[in-house]
Amino acid sequence: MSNTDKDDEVSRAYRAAAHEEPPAALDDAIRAAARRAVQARPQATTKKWVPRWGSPVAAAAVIMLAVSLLFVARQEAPEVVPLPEVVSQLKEVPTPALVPEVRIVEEARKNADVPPPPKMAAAPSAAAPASNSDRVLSVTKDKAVAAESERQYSERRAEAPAVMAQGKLEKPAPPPMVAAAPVAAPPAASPSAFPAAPPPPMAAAGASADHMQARDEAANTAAPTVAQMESKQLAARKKVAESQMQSFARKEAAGDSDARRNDAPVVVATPGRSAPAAAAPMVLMRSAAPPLSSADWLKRIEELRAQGKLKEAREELAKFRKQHPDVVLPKALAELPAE
Amino acid sequence: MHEDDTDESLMLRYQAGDAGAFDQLYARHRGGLFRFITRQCRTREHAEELFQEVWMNLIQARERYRVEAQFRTWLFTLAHNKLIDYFRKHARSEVHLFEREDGEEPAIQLVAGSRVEEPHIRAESSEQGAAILRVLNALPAPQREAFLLHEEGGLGVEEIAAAAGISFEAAKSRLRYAIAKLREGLKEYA
Repeated sequence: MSNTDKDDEVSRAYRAAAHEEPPAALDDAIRAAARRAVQARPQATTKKWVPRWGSPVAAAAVIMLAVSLLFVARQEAPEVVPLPEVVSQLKEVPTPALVPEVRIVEEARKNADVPPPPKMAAAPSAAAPASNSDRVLSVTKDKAVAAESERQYSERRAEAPAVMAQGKLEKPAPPPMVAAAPVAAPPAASPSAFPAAPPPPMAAAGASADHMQARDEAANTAAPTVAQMESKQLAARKKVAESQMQSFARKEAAGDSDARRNDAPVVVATPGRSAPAAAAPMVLMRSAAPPLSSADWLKRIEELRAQGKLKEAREELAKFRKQHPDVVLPKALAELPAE
Repeated sequence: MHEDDTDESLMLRYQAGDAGAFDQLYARHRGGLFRFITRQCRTREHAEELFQEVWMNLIQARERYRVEAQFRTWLFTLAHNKLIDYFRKHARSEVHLFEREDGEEPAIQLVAGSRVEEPHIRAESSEQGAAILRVLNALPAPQREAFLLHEEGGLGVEEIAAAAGISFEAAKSRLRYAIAKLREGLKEYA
């Protein structure tokens, strides 16, 4: 600048006049803000630094976790028993509410001095299952044996009247009780008529231990339950047979040979295993009726005729003739008008 | 802390976290910056507000500071930008003056609302000093700013150009016209 001296004059004049200063409060505020900014700097740096690596690491961790879970789930997937199979298992498992009744039947068997049937139903649960294949084989065998025993039991029941009639039973007196023995004490193989415990359905080869344990528990519960249902029928049959035998014994002791004849068919008519359970009480009612002697029977037929019940009188007379062909009929009945 | 530390080194130290370096910088430039702003604002309240905002901008922008120019140039550049914003809000006529083409010589005129009319400026005016301040306040804003950058900021023509965002010639012209008018004013009030 060419006018340096004159500029200096202007500058001196200005500096002499201009001497304003910022207020002290403003100075303090600005200095404090400057210190705060410097002190807060490390924190701000930390805040920025964490998200830089935190987000990728968190995302990687989540991905790793998801992949590992998926891998584990796929490994365990074949061991999961399908729902329909589980439902079918549950359907095969009877309710365990009747388990105590099995003990009653067992006790009844003991009281009757009948050898208890082999616990085929409980066998699967009592025996330690070595493997699923062994378990299935065992159950299959049980079913086959049960079917065979069922057949034998039915046959022997059918043969019982003939045996009784021929007096070939080896058991000693009292004869009525001997006659009832086939009913009260089924053949040795008859317990196999009890259906074996529902076999644990074959699950996938890699079924988990928990599933196997659950199925074992269900089988253990089901085995006595099914058996006790059959035992219940047996117990009913046993009662029928005992009552019949007692009645038969009384009649036999009274010298009425007709009692054996009248009761025998009834006993033979005891329903087999496949008969409905309601048949047992009906048999019991028939067998409970006191047997009639030939004289009483004729007297009853005479009463029917006197009451005008000719049809029934003729039917009874026909039965009487079949049973007692050697008895000479009274004149009134012999002349009973034909239908 | 040494007295011979340059502004740039102090700013770098403050950038590194040395609050004491900022105090030293502030002590060196607080008066000149405050007067630079005060001479161009209508009220002292506005001047103090702008003064604080300029320093706060410096504090917030410390991480971006690079030693590419003088610290004073950077500091007064921040102040210039704040003043332009202020003019846009409160003194549209002065903004027009800043936006005029270089070479046009506006006449010194006392207009209503000018700083010359403000009481505190008038009270400070006394004798030669008062005369030069009256003439300075009557200068067009760009010339006044150029003179203040030279006197309060200690900037040369090149630094004035950098701080004001104008060419070297424009800065030189503004400064030359400003000093010439101030000289004329001193003669009248002498």
